[in-house]
Amino acid sequence: MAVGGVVIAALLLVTVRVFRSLPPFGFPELRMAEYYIQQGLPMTGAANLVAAIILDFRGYDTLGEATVLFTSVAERWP
Amino acid sequence: MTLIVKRISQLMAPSIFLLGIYVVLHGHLTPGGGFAGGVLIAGAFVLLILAFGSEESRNVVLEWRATASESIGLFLFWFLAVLGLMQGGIFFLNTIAKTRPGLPFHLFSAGIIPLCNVAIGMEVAATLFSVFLCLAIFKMRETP
Repeated sequence: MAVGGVVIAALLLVTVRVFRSLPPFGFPELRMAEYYIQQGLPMTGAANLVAAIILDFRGYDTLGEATVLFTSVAERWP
Repeated sequence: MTLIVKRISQLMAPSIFLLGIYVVLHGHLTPGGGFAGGVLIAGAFVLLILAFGSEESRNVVLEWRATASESIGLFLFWFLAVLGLMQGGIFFLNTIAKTRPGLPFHLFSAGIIPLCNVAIGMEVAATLFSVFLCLAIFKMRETP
């Protein structure tokens, strides 16, 4: 119990240090989002910007998601 | 279930199925896409099974169709990803949009994005339906 409390206190202290070293919120500006909004339609031709991002700019993420879903069923299927 | 539930679900299930297909096909134009449309399609089948029971709907809902659709959908998605690698040298490159751009805001546009949506729709619909089957029916069969 006491050891756990000491460990948690140490972790909290480390967390405070880590959060102090992070840059403040909203800075530096996220330039990638601006690029997506401006170049999404000309580069992919998709009117739905969300579809353009999740299937073209970040297709890896969706690919992994679909594969995880497939694997979870393939493991349980009798 | 009672007669009212059976008839109402019989009326509702085709509409839900068609709405799911619409959402999948127009995923690159309107909000939605493969995941949302796939969940709708799976919901139509789940509604039928909940209303009619697993024994009565055994003739309609075949399990090997769910398995085949799931496998074909995932294979199609991976194939489209590797197609960019083969033709353009970059994994997930939108090769069809480069060669045949199509008009924006039309159904046949955006290259491989609608094809990917169809593949994800098949895969997600079959997978969620299989999850439902695994949780609801196979469990009962294993422990009678």
